[in-house]
Amino acid sequence: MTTASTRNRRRAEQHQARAISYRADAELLLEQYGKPDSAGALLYEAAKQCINALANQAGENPGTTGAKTAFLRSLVNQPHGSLLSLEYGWQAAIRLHIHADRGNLDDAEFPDSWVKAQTFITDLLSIYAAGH
Amino acid sequence: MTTPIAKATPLETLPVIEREFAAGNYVESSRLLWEATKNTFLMLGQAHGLHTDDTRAIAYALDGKYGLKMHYLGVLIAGGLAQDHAEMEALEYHELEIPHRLLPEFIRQCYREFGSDDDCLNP
Repeated sequence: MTTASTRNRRRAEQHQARAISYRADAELLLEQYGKPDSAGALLYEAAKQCINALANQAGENPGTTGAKTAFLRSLVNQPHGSLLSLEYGWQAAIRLHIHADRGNLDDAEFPDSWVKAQTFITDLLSIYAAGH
Repeated sequence: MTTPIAKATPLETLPVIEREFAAGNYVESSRLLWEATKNTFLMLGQAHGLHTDDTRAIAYALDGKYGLKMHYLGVLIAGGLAQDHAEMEALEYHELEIPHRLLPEFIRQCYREFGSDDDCLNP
């Protein structure tokens, strides 16, 4: 019989694996194929997968993006050091997502959001690994 | 109904932003929030002797000076999200909530530490 905790652990592992895979694909799209719009969209997906992985690890399963944002906020509010950068990193990922649809970022702004979103993903994966 | 506030300072604008956001006027609150953020960066540039009106350059310089204490570039990106919504209505409510929560806090802190509110009237 599969327990809730086993299900959540499996989900967490799947989301973590997707996050790593999507990020690698996003980097490939940007660096090898010169497709920033697609790369940004995929990096945003990687960021969402990271939040899912951490939420599953904590026994939660946020479905909507709003629920993911709420989970992130609960993480930021935990008293273990300054995690304010996570909220700004999530903002950067959202900007990439909007850029994929609307083309709002110019040549200077895109790398700013790209780097911040990458840092966000790295930080979340580190938090995930620490809790594993 | 939106409230026109000509030449208001960023600090004076904050209650208006909060009121517009609470009333569901997200385009107007986002427009005012982006303006207040941009003007705060211009004040910061002046306060630090940076002779530029390039907000990105100011953010990079301040992150370089203070490390990631205040996340200046992150703040600017969050301000850019508000700008995106003001210009394109691009965001959902849950995406708007974070900049409307973090940026006023940032602006208040910057003026406490670095500015008189008059500095940003005509940056």
